[in-house]
This record gives sequence, structure tokens and C-alpha cells, in this order.
Amino acid sequence: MENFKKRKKSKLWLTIAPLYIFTLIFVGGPLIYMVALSFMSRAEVWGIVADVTVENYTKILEPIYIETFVQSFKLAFSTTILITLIGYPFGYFMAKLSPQWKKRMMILIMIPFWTSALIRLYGWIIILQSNGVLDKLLMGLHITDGPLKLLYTYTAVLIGMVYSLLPFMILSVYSSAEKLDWSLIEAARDLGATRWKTFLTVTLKLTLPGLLSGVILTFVPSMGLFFIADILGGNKIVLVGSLIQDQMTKGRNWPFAAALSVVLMIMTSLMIYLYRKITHTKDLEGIL
Amino acid sequence: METIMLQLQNIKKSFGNTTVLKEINLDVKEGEFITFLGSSGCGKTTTLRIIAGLENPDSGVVLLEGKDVTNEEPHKRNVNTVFQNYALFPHMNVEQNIGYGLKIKKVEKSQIKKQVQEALELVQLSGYEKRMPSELSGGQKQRVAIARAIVNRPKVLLLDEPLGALDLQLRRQMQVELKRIQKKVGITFIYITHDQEEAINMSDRIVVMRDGVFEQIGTPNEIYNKPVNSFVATFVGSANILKGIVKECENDYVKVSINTEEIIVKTDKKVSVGDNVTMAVRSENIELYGERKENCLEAIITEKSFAGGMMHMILKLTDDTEVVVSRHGMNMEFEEQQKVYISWKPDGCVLVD
Repeated sequence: MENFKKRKKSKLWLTIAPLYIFTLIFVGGPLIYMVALSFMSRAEVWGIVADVTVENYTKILEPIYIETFVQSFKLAFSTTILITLIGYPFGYFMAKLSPQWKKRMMILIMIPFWTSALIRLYGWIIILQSNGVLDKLLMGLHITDGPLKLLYTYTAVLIGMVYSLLPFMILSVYSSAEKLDWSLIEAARDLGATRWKTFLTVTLKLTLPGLLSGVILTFVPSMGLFFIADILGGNKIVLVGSLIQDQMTKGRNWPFAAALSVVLMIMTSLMIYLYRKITHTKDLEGIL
Repeated sequence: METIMLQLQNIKKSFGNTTVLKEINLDVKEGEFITFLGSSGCGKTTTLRIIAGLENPDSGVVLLEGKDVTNEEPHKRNVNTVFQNYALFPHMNVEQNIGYGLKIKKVEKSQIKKQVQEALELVQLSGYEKRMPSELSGGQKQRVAIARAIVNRPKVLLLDEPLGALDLQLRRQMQVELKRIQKKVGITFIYITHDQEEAINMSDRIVVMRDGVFEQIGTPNEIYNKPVNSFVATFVGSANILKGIVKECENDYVKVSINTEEIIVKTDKKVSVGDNVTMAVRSENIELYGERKENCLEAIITEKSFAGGMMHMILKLTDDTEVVVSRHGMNMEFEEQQKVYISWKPDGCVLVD
């Protein structure tokens, strides 16, 4: 019996081995390479030289880069808060729809994914630009007197971020709310709780895993989505993501880009860790 | 004098085109154990949900202690429900589940703890405070659900097939226990089941329901021994239904002809010669004879089976009507395919509508 169990265990290991190997090569490898790279120095003109240094990290402490990090975090926070405010009720009420309407809503959410994110963002330029679709609409309805000139502002980047990342929140809240046993809500009402109290003590608590994974799915990418800031923010908004991209390409400073990435990664991991510590969640909907 | 706790007056309810409740009326006394008995889809759960306030009737009035609560929100009614699937909050432990209602009412913490302890003692689950619902068996979940409702001392406790998911042995045990709890706390219980044995064992009164109508309201004794119609007679204790024509009437005694044979029946119903009548005869009230006597019907035994300590025999009358006869213990006197004669005492059957 003992023998049999052992054999079974080794077989099990074999079946999941490819997964470990894959992760090691395609996740672990690049990660190690990136960390190593961050301690190298840039070459005079092209490439890197293996001079071990911490200069790349000390450079981040310069006010301009600190400011970039602060701005990125601010944007990520506002994006996540806005997405939560819109996405949570959206996902929750979607789960309450009839099966037929659920399907229709799902298709509406999925359709944008069939088009490149870049093309959709260029669509936003047409909407947001001075005297663009939005301005004309608002002026036509006499809500505003002149053009809002939203394009290439912080607001435009925020709109772009919320637009791009909202589906992730909706879908993860939806998947959580879908599994919700509605008789629990009736039970809470029956035991004397008002609608609001029921929401706080039962509904919210039970859909928290979905909400939390939605927050992480929106917060983490919003730190790095450089192309939204580039397209809708002009060059006025510099985020860590865009900084890394610039250092990687135009700046030709790979080690510094790697150091920035490592710091960003550590900070986001720290955020997630703190977040989970505060909210006491062990199982997040599908991720982590 | 007994006070009326709950009144349902002319309650009607439809979902879309289907009428679920057709004008039901009921008075429930304080401290009464009343059971809605009916097969699934008869509207018993809807009735319960209307009392709880989870559903609003299309018309009619719900009175709780004489006060109209028809349009009152569920959290304002002093009524609690034990749900069919228990509906325990999965993110709270036993103690938090039971204390939920009290916490909502902002009862003092030490008081909550005390009352939760008492409730746990009542359902014999002391020591389970810190368990999560996922760590409990079906029977234990059931007890927690009962404790969670009872701890609030509701005026009326609604139980929606609370024992439906439990195995037979546990169900019997819980029946006894529920009855004990009800006697101890003195709360009015409204209980839903499709199990006639459960209804008869536990209830002060039974409401037999079919298609959104109350067929009969009465004590278990009345329901069993004086069913008003053939539905009640067959649904509760599966009586045999026989149709015949009244031949003679004398005081309370009526001679009824079935096919070509005649049998005497005692009834307090007003019938006259020539009336078509329906008789309900319990299988255990039927006598079997090997040879023809007076007041007998001819039959053939088609099947014999032994179940639950009873011998069940299926007989066919000369017009192919099936009759079930039951006897305690093994009965080897008669064989399958044997021709026999059946009879019953005049008060061994009732005339039903």
C-alpha cells in the first residue's frame, strides 16, 4: 500500500513536471536575467558591460524618477478606484440578469477584445480631441460652452486606463457574484437585516474574492500600460511604464530599465501583499 | 382563550400566467405546530415566502398578531425562516451565524454570547461555536439553521422542508427533536413537508394543499380518519378509493352497490338513494375471507409483497379496480391468483366528495 502510494506520487510529479520546466524557462529565466541585468552597466554606445554596480538603483532616487513613480502610483490608484466604482455594480447586476441577457452582456464585453487595443485607443483620440466627438456633443447639447480640450491631459489618460482595464474588474466580480447563493441574501433579510446591511455583511463579503482579484488585475497593469499614456497623454504624462520603455529603446540604457522594472515589481508585489494582509483573503478568484 | 397569531386572508398569487395560490385562508393559533402538506409545486413554499415577506401576494392580507404586515419588508417582520438548503453564511462560524440576527438588532455582545449558548444547548450543539459551516454534517447544519432562527425568538417560525436533505434515520431523530424544541420554546411553527408521516407525527394541525388550494385543514386524526375528498384520502395514508351507487339509506347506515355486489357503510353525510358516492377505505381496515359471506366483494390477489413489517396485497375487483390490503406480519393464508372476498366494518370507511 505504502509502496503503491509512493509510486503514485512519483507518477504525479512526472505529469506536472512539464509545467514546472515551462515556468522555469519562460518565467524564472527572464526574471533572473532582468535582475542580473539591473546590476550591470551600460556600454559607451551599444549594449552592456559586465561591471557590477548599484548605480542603476541609486539613480532611481533622483527626484525626477521618484516623481515618475509617485505619478504612476497616483494614476494607478485613481484608475483602480474608478474601475471598482463602475465595475463592481456592473459585474454584480450582470450576475442577476436572466441567462439570455447574461450571454448578451458577455458578448458586448468581449467584442472590444477582438480589436487591437491600440486601434481602440486611437478611437479615443477622435472622441477626446479638441472639437472632437465629445466636445461637439456636449456643445450641441449646450452642456459646455467651449471645447474641453481633454486630449493630452491627465484626465484623458485616466479615461483610457479605465476604459482598457474595466472588463477585467467586471468579469472577475461577475464570476464571483454568479456563484453567490441568493438564498443567503434572503436569509439575511429574514433575520432582520436591511438591504444595505445585507449588502455589507453578506453580499460584499462573499463577492470579495472577485473584487480583490479585479483590483489586482487592474492595479498591476495600470502601473505599466505605457502606450495609453503615450497615445492619450502626449508627452505630458510620464509613467514608470513609459520610462522603462524609453530607457529600453531610445535611451539604450538596458541596465537602468531593468533596475526600474525590478523596483516596480517589488513595489507592486508589496502592494498586493499589504492589500491581502489587510483584507484577510486567502483565495482570490482564480489568480494568485 | 387561545389567541390567533397569524391570519392569511384571501391570498392570491400568480407567477406570469400560472396561478400558484387561489384564495387561501388560514388562522394559526399561538404556539401551534401547523404543517403544510402537499406535493412539490402545490404552492406551499410560496405561501411560506409570503408569510416571511420574501414574496408579495397579488391580493389578500397577512395579519401577524392582528396587525397587517402584507407589505412590510421581511426584516421588519418578527418571523424567521429555516431554509430548505439551510442558507448558512459560509464566511461566518457557527457562533456568528446564530448571533447574526441579534447583532443586526444591536443586542449587547455579552447578551448575544449568552443567547447563542442557550440556542446551541437547545439544538445540542454546544462546543461547536467556532466551526465553519463547511465543517458540519447535514444534520448539524440543520441544527445551526434552526438555532439561528430560534435565537431571535420570532413570533412565528417558518420551516421549509427542513429535513428534506437528511437520511431517513436522522430525519426521524430530528422530527422528535423539533417537536421537543417547539414545546420548549412555545413558538408557533409553520412547517412544510411532502412527507405525510412527518406531518402526522409532528403537527397539531395539517393543511393539505393541492394546486394552490387548501383541500383540508384539520388535526392529523381528522385528516387521516375523516378525509373530505379522495385526494386527501389517497395523499395521506394512501387509502383505496371505490365508487358506488346508494341503494338504501337507514339512519346513518347506507347500502352501497359496487358493480353487482353490495356493502354497508356508516356515514354522517346526507345521501339519498341513487346517488353516486366515493368511498375511501384504508388498506388495514379491509378483511379477507376465503369464501363468500354477506356484505362482501369478490376479488383476486394479483401481487403480494412484504415491506416495513407489513404484508401488502394488491387485489383486483371484478371490474379491475385495484385494492390494496395490508396486514401486520407475514400472512401466508392466501396465495397469489387466489380468489378471495373482501369486506370492512361499516365505520371502516368514509364517504368522500
